[in-house]
Amino acid sequence: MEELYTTQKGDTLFAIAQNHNVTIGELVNINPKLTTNGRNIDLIYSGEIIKIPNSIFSPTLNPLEPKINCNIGSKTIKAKKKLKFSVEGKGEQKIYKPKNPNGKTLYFYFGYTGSEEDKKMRKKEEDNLEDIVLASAYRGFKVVYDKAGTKKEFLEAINDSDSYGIYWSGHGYMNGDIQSTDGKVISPSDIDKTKRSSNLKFLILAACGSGKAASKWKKALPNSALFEGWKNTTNISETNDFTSTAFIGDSLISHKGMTPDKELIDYINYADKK
Amino acid sequence: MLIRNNSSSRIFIIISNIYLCILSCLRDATKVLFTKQALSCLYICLLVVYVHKNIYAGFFLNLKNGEEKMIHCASWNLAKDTLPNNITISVSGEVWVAESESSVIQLSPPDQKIQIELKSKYDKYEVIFVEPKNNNRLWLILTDENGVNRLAILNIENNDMHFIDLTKEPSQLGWIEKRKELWYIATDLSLNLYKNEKNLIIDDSAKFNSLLVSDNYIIRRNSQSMEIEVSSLENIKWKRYLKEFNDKLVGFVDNNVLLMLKLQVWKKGLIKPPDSIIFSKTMNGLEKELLRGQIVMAVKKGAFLSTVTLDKAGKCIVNLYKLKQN
Repeated sequence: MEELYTTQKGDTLFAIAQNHNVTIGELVNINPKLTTNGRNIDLIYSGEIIKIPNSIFSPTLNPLEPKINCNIGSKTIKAKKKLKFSVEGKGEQKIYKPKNPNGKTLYFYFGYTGSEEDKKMRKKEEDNLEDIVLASAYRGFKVVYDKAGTKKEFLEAINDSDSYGIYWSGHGYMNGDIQSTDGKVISPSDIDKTKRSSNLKFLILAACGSGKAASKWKKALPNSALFEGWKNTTNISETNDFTSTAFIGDSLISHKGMTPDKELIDYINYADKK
Repeated sequence: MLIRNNSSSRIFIIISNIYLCILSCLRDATKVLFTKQALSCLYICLLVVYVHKNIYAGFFLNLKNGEEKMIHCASWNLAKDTLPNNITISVSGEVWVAESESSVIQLSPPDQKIQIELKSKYDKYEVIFVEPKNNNRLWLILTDENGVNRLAILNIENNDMHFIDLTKEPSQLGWIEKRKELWYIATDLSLNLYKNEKNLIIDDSAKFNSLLVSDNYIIRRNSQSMEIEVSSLENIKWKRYLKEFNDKLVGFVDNNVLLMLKLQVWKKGLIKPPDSIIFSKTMNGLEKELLRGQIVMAVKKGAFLSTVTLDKAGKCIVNLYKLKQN
């Protein structure tokens, strides 16, 4: 059953969709008036009533129920209470700001370059990662989700004192370095040990070859931080296994370096510990 | 400290000498023959060369255009799953490997391998950088279990090692024997100089992530703009050399030519990574390819070039080449 929402001054379709965990497409489907008579899809009138379809995160949720369970694959993420968050952003970057933040920031990046082949690759990974992004924001993490991570942004994330975890998916080099969207090479030696966040709990590089230099990456991070990287090549389904937290089974062997019983959500749990 | 020494066999030297006699005659003949036929592929033959009283056995490489570039002197396999932190070459052509398991390995032609383990009852260090000093001494950067980097000098004759206090934690070194200067990039990415037991901070206004020194010049790379800057050592004034430089610095061929390593990106789904390329680059931007393969690391010192390559199984192989002087 749909929910009804009265629009307010300053609302955008994008923000409404984000705040209710639905897509713009789902909103338009259930509210044909938003696109009839050539109406601009971005035009929202204050006081207009629109229907909100059921969100994947609260299909049977009682609005008064203070707990939500987000089922992702075989694991369950328990949120302490119903947390709402706002979404800001421009271009390829979105920032999820929870109303009751836990004071910790997680960064999720795609570091692919802008080639058509890379865009297709990224698209295949987006769905899984976006679930994780939303689940993290529900738990109270401030989440920076960037589909075009640059070297500068990566190093800023390492140095942000609120940074508790970084997940980076992109291409790597055989010596363990990684490539950013702006075509630059990021090496462990680029990290300024005097500036890095002492709170950082994990760095995951879902990039071929990055695990080859695991020792160098670990040394560049604070002692409390875990590091994971793909040692050899990998493919999308293996990467998606890791982010979906679904049962991985034998396919994990090809990661060669990933801890078999750990998935991305386990690292987020680790970052959430007090 | 402990030393393991797998010394070279005498039989190998005898065989090598026989090869030397035969091949010194054959080499010129084959070269002429192949050059005349203008083959469009590589030709290879076994060769031994003498360098600083050492015998090097390997392959003679002739590139497509018939121009001789280098001689492959030796190869060594490293232990499984070892990716060195850094490699370097001494003036006499020995390769030194800084590796993660608290040791530094000397690879001396033809098949000698000495591993010096830096372990004590109380401390465990990882060697993250090795640089030859002089008289059988090495500069080392060691990281302790708390991730603190320290500079040490290791005497490989008596295994004596002592630490040197620096103002900043070092992460990369460049030793200039002629000037007795140790240049280093610190963990805060500043550029520093250690000379006459004094630590000088040369530049901490910007951040640098790569360093290369020769007798007369120093080269650094800005970690944010990725610009390569060069300065004469006599008078430190930085001049922009290359913009947006994403390759690895390998060494100087002479003071106007640099060797670089262009690492190729390894994409998801590709079973085999594409070849990386070592090339020379002149001040006016002229590039020439020298070597390609699955190279992950390379260093050039004097007449020697050493590379670390990965085979299909992910095993590391250290190669030594002698560059032909024009």
